Amino acid sequence: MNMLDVRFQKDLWHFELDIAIRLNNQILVLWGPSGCGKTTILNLLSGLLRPDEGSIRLNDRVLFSSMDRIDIATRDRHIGYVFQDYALFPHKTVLENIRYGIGRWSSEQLATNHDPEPLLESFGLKHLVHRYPSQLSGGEQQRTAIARALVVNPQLLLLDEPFSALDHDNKVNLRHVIKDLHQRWQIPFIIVTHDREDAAFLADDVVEIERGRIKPGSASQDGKVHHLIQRRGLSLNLGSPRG
Amino acid sequence: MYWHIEDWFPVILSLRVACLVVILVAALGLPLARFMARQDFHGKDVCEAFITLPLVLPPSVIGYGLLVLIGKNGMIGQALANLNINLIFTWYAIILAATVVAFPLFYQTAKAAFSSVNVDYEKAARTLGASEWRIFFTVTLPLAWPGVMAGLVLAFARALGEFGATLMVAGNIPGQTQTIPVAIYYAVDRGDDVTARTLVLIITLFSFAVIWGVNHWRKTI
Repeated sequence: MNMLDVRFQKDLWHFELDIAIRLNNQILVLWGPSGCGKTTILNLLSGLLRPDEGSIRLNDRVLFSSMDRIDIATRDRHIGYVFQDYALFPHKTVLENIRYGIGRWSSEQLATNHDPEPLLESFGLKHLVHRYPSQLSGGEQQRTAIARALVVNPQLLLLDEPFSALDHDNKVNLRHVIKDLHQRWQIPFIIVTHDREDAAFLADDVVEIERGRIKPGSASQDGKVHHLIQRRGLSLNLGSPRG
Repeated sequence: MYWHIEDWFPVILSLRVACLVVILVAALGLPLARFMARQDFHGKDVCEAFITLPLVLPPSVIGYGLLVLIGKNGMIGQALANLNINLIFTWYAIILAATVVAFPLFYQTAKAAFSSVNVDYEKAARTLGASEWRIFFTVTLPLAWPGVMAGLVLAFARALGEFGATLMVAGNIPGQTQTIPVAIYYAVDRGDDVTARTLVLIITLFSFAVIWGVNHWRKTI
């Protein structure tokens, strides 16, 4: 059973972020208005930002602990991250993008775990491997970005506003792709969105963020999202203010 | 007066100097430009101003400054003299002078190129397990390459044309420290029109070819 256990604080410019999350192999949706700290949470988890205090545990590994002075570098965290604008390398083809993360692994590991072929197949990218990101549609870029993040076998997948740049049909389609992926990969997903429909469709659990805090039980007026919060046994800790 | 085979010396020396300066400037300037494009620290503005200073100072000021540093009585010059090394009036002094004046040109261009690379690409590479070295050579540098290349060409051209500071620290020793610009100056001074005209033609054609070549290359990428 994969498991994420997080509690951290960070002083941001206009408020203090204070979050505690426990998560099994579920899809957790971070939901809330823009500027409330959702993306910052993903950056803190992936190690692109450093919490002021707290700890991050993923499975049996401590990725960050302010008490024990542990801070594992981003590249060693094994956390997949799909950026909001995908951040596909514009000078590399689809295949080069997807293979980028494989570069550091030994050929032995590569043969067993990191073969991109099945991923390319299941993402419908096989005929596009020699194209550059600028030659892809929004949906194709999105699928490439997700495949690139998954090819290194992450233990946790973070998706930042994965549908924000897509039209409605693509969006509905990709929701299903993500749901299917989650079933197959059996790792926790954390998805940032401010779209109620996305949250309702994808989420096993929803956490509403407001000014850097989790707002328990009051996620939204939307019945389903609210219901999800009530139903699931997600531990929602209201962060306690410091000092 | 005729053009002699030994008259090629300034051409060869200038090209050698310019090539070496490009290598030096890239080796020093790339890490510094990358660092300054991404990091913020106290006193950064002062550092920037100091690095850019040779771009705006008169070459004679740079020449004088170098003399103060590496001259016989200079701070570094004395230390080197104890090791039996003399830089003044050698072609090492030419390299030094050309590097100092060419460096800010390359640095400014390269820094702008690095700043224009979206940091998300570097972040994405980090989450994919890449080391900082790998990120630099496979993501940042290739994306900044057109700007970096432009900076290298500017540095090359500036090193090729360096006159004032070079004259002050390396003098005009035919067959030893006489670069094209210095040779032209002294040829005109002694009324040797053939040498002056030939050298002017060579440096003009060569500079034209470099600029044309780079512009052409830029269109193809």
